[in-house]
Amino acid sequence: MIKTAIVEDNTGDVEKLKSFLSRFGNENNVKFSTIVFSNADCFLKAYPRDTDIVFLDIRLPGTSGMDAAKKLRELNHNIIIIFVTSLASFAIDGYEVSALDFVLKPFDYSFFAMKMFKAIRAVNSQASQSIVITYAHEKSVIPSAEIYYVEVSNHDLVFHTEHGDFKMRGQLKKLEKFLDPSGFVRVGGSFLVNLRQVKEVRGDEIKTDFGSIHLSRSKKKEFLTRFADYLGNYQG
Amino acid sequence: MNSVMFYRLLSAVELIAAEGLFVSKLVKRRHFIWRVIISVLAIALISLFFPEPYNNAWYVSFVYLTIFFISILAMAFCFDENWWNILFCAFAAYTIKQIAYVLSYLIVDTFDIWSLFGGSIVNPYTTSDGILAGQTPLTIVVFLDVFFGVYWASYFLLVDRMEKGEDMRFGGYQYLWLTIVIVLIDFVFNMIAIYYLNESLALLVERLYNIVTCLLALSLQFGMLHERKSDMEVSFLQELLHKGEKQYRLSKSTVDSINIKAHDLKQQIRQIGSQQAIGTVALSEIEEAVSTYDSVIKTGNEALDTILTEKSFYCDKNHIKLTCMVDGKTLSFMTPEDIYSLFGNAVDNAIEATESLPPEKRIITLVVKKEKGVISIHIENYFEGNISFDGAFPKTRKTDKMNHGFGFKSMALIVNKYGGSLSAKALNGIFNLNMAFLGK
Repeated sequence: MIKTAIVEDNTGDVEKLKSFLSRFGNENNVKFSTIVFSNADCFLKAYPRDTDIVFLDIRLPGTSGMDAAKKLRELNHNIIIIFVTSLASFAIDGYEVSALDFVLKPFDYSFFAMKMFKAIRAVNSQASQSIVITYAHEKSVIPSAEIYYVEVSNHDLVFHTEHGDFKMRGQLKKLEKFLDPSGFVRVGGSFLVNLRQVKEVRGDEIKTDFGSIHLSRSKKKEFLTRFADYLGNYQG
Repeated sequence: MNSVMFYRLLSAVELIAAEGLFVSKLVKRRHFIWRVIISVLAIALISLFFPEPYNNAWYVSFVYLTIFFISILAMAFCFDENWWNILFCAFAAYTIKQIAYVLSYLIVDTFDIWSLFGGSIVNPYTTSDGILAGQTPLTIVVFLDVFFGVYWASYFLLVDRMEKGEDMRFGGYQYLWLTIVIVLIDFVFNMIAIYYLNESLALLVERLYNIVTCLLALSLQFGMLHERKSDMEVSFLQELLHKGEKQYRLSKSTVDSINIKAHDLKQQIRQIGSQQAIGTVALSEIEEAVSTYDSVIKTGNEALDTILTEKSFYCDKNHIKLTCMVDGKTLSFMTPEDIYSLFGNAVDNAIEATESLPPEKRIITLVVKKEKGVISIHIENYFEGNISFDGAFPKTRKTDKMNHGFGFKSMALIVNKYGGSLSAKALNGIFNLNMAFLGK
């Protein structure tokens, strides 16, 4: 079941979106639940915290869709944002809210479907894997989303996470395979970075909230390719 | 130190010197000087103190090969390059050293320089009369001269022509493998030649060398054929790009003048509408028709505006919905011609895929944004049928393989020029094209 929210003040548009969702759901065997808000402030206050996808109109009474998106991002790093806009002309100013994509008004089902495939892939990729770390008889369970990156130190794997560092014996190669569906990329011989936790790539440093990883010239292209894929297809 | 150790060390020094010819063409790692010092010391120590329990051609080959491979690892340790580049330089270095080595013995033996001041032929493995036993001052001078000469010539004829940071993966890894195999064969033959100097084996070795030389000639021939094809491709691509530049300028002025005319037309229509009674339906139809050409796309980048406007004309005519979410300012690092060509190709590909689809699936979306320090470009469109991939690139589905498929190669050329990445994937009937560049 995928939980969606629609923030849109035009009831006609709301009905259209809902009908598209149910058509897509029938055609592709996906179940959706939807909750509707007519303005941004209500939404920000009352949206169910486990919402997967939010359709956000750019033009709303009161707080604009773009501002709402910015606030939403501060609260929730993982939710998938799809803008709804009726801009007939072609350029929209850059956005730093990490929106996955956009849907144009007047609504078109095929267009909508194209975006939904992406959105669903993004939601599925977020179903967080957890990893069980055992070291010196202590067991911890860590959601992969909370890992900044993993590095190799002597024969141990060191996990830098939002809740501190954890150590475990193991091989980076095996871990890489296991965590690949969660968007982890190998950088150089001894680092495995969580793309979701990458804050910025500057010069030859990959920056996370924990620390930076040096991006060597030979690994640059592969990392860029994976990161671009993530930015275009799994943003959330 | 006995002479066996000395000659091993000497060989290692010759090898390191040959590999050093490539220093200026390879990207150095951090703390390069330290890495070099460590590597040279390690190789020197290993060459000196490698155990030698056996004294036959095979074991000795093993020892020298090991030293060679350690030097390859050392190169990887010192240079931030991919393995192909390192292997390329290492094997070239080995071959250069080998030429110098064999040539020096050739000269010394042919002109019998040994006996010019008295002295006997030295094989370090059969005598242990001290390190330089059998060498005379003149032979040493000859050896040094030949080595310097060959290395100097190699540098100016071969290395100097390389570009720094060049990608040495020449088309088809099979050529590098062939080189490696030939070098290894030569290596072993050389060892055999030093040890077993009898006639029948010498004849065998000579014949085998003959065959190897023929193989080399063949690979040269066919390699050049392939090269020529690649060369043609490259010059074709460059032609296209050049034409693209002209096209860009033409398109820009065309689009500009169309826009101006359309704008004027719109004004005039409004005037007509307000002065005389043209039916409002007719009026709005005319306005709509003109609107298409008045739609000015403003992305914040002129070249992008031009190519997208041009493509949008075509799309409108063919009922393809082209929608864009573009922050054009992020592309200011690219030249206008490159932008025109890159996006022209990308949108053309998408147009081709969607042109013949049912109207509701004729959709192309384009996103250009800068996020987290990475500038990324994404194009999506529906497609029908199967797309097979050749690595990260889709194989052309057109029948004329020679002339088509250039769209992608041309895009790859431009993307590489700016150090970016290009990849594509096809899922759920939707084709995704992604490009990414590191922002400054």
